Amino acid sequence: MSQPERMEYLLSQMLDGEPSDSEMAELSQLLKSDVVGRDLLIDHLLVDSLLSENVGAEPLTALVDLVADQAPISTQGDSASVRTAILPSRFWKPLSWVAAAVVFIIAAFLVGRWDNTALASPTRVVRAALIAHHQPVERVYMVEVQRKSSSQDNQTGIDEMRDVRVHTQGDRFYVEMNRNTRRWVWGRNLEGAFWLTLGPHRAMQIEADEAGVPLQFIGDLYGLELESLLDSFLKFCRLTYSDESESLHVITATPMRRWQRRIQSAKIEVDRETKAVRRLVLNQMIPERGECTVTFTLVDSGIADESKYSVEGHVEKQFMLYNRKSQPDLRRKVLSNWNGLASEKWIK
Amino acid sequence: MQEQSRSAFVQLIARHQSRLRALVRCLLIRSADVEDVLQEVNATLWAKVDEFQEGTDFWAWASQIARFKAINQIRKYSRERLVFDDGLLIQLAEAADRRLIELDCRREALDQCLQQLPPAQRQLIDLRYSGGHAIEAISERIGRPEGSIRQTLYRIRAALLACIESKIKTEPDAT
Repeated sequence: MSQPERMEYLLSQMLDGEPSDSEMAELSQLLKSDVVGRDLLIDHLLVDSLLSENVGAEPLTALVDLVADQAPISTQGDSASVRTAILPSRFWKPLSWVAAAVVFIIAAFLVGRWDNTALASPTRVVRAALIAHHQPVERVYMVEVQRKSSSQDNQTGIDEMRDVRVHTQGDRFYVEMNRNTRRWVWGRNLEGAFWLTLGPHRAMQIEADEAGVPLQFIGDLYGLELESLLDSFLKFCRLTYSDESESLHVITATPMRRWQRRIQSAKIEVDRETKAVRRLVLNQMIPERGECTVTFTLVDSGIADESKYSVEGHVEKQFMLYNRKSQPDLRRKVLSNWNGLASEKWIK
Repeated sequence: MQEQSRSAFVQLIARHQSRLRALVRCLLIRSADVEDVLQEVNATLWAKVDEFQEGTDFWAWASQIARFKAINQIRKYSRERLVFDDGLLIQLAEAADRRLIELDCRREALDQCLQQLPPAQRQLIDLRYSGGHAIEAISERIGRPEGSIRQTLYRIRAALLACIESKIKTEPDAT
């Protein structure tokens, strides 16, 4: 084995294994005399650290929350007990911390604020909401959109939407859009293709790579992959309590670093008892569309009708499906008849 | 310290979290203890909040604490097994310092490079990092020897590293 090969072997042992003492001694000797080898090890360790941070399941935010939760100790009663709940036992050593926790617990008990959620940090609350949303319960959210600038986008027709409801379970969702007497339903399949209904007998599928900007915009605004979203809040955002009520935890999520999503901040209201997300307010910056605030408000929950998460659940048995293969060009005309001229641009 | 200053201090800790983690990772070498030591660093920083003077170099101060905590941890497990000596650790810390300056830039480049990975390689990275699986578990799951997986992971990281370097070189303004 050549020296570079040996170095590769030893470094791979070090990064993903448990090198033996003799391997450690050998690597130590090599590194002391080899600047390039040291740089190589550091380069690999940095990539490993960035991968753990970017791809990893353990959010750095939890570590920051640990500190952040302690900051408003005088104004936010829960924080002292949060600290004791998260830290390993060795952090309990400073007597003052334990004393502070004990004082808080007694105080909380005395003032009657003790409940089973009192020990929750914002991170734990969001994690609990994530687990709750993974249960086989469908939740229905009413959606409201407020836009700071509506200069360009009346063309989509979405501003005229009066009643929009998202049905969601896990990462699946479908959206009911009601405008006056007209109702249509859309969703996305696993490949990202949009399906949408055009009454009880017709439906359309638009592949992800065919979707025009207005349709993508509608997808970004109303699509609610809540499970992934909550997971991303845990991974990429600093979570802080912004308000409290007897029935709700109100948490603000602020991205700590660059995030693929366009969300600039979010407010998450989590039911203390059921852990369901009762309201979610997303402040988004959408390229070429400006700032939007989208509010999802829980209006119903129950057992999901599985069939509704695909187009077949919303149309009669004998229905016509327009897709790229069957009627590629007719789709624009049908869309235009159904939703107005602007919706022609929903397909590129 | 005033409430507002404390809040700003928390922001400083948050902003430097990634660099602190990377520094601890480079010194500890063993990945298993990184999160624990980082928590210890955060707790110490917070405990010393009143010692920090606003307007001074937070990173210089925080990285000293991180180094100290990491070296303490290494000394703990030096009772059980051979570890790098202090001289080599200082050399590694210096090498890490030089690279940590451009960590944000490297992270941005890594995001792009990850998207270019072939699916099989991406799957392995996801198993290792997103799934948090140990090499033994990955080996069982995909039916390949542990040594081969370690080698493949090393080569994927080497490829990512090359990709990051090329992006940093071609986008000097990215910092």
